[in-house]
Amino acid sequence: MTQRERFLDRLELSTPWMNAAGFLGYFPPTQRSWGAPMGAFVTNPVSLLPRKPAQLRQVVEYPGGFLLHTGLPSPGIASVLKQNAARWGKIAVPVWVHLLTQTPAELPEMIETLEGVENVRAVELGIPPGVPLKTILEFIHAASGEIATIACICVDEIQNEWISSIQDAGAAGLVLAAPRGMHKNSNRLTRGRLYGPAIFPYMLNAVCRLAQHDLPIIAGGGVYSQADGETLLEAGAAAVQLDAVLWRNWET
Amino acid sequence: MLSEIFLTPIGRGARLSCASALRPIAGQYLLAHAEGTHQVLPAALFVRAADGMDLVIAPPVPEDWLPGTEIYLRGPLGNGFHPPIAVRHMVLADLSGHQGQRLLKLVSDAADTSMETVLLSDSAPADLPLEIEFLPLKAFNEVLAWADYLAVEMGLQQMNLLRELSGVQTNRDFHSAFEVLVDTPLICGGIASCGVCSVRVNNHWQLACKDGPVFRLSHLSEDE
Ligand code: FES
Repeated sequence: MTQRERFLDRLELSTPWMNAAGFLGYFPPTQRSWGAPMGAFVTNPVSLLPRKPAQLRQVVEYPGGFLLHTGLPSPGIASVLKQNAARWGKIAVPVWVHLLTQTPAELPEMIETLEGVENVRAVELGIPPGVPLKTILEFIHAASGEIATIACICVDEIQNEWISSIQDAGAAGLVLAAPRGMHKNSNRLTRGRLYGPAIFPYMLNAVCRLAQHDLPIIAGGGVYSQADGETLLEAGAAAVQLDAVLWRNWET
Repeated sequence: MLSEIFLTPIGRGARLSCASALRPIAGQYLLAHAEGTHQVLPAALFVRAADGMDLVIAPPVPEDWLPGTEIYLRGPLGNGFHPPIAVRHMVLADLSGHQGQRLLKLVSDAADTSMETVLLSDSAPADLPLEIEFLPLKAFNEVLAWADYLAVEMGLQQMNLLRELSGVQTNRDFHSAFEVLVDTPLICGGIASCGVCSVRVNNHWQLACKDGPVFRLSHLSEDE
């Protein structure tokens, strides 16, 4: 068995394709907009308590991509589960819940709640920006339980020498999330996540660099064609996540 | 398919020839993506007029769309304008620099052909129908007294300016029938609940792409 096959088997994924957190909401839409069937559904970020949108919400488009700043609003885990827990049990693919926390202390309560929810097979742990390895490991330890933990770290922050520690801490995989950047909009500098095909070469380079380790790597951005996704899989990614490409090519 | 592009001072408008009749009401939008272009995000299109299977799209449309381009459309999406049935004096006001082009469909949708309409904006479209009177925004307060229905397009950051122009203290002072098309990014059409289009309405967060982009003016919260 290859590393990818072991990963897909362990997490009961029928294919290595899935959406990135924040791009299909808390429940998958029924229409399909991607050529290959999805292996998992990844939820929007879920916080412990309700979280407001950012004061200045913005999207800045530039050639090859866009910067998005929303503040990652979330209704909070209680509200998300009230509306979706029963429905998640009925969908055909496993659910990964993306957790958005500021401190590791918020995690045990959230994990315990999710352990009782049918079909939740993994939590994707959104690691806050700019934290050192020590803190990343604290997050992973705090999330340990019956559900698999997938660490989710911006591709521009992850370092080669962190990988084995992340695996030893108990992570079942690592999502290379879209990088952060800045752009100017209406005479104001805006910080946010960068998406679009322009980050594909960056993602491919990171996958090649990091896939030499044992920890399964999930490429979490830059894929706007099936061919690009397949290139990442050939380069050693265990799975590929799709973002705003899922918002287009819908049938009228 | 995109059959025609027309140039305007605020960007390019377009005519789309559709395979089936799409009938968005004024204020609803379509999410559009053109295969083979450099477009990454779908574009939100507002219909200025419908003509059989053709839709005239209010500017701006993406710069690299050319006649002959195949456009994938999703929609109509969102909540559009719902003017009262018996409007006699309609005021369209544009504070977002679109010349009121996203509001003009309200006039062709109106059942009453004797309705009088005034457009308040920085500038008027070159082909503004003769039955619509154009006035500059500084006439806002005066025209408001005459209106029995107001449709505004603006960004949320222009709320203070709108209150100033209208001479009202709070949003609750607006007539309950008056409506606003919130000019905000509409990128996921609600599929993702991405939140970039969040609007505070009656002290709750709503999404302009699903619950709007048209809201009652008096329902918009001021404490965002
Ligand atoms: S545009 Fe994404 S939630 Fe409205």
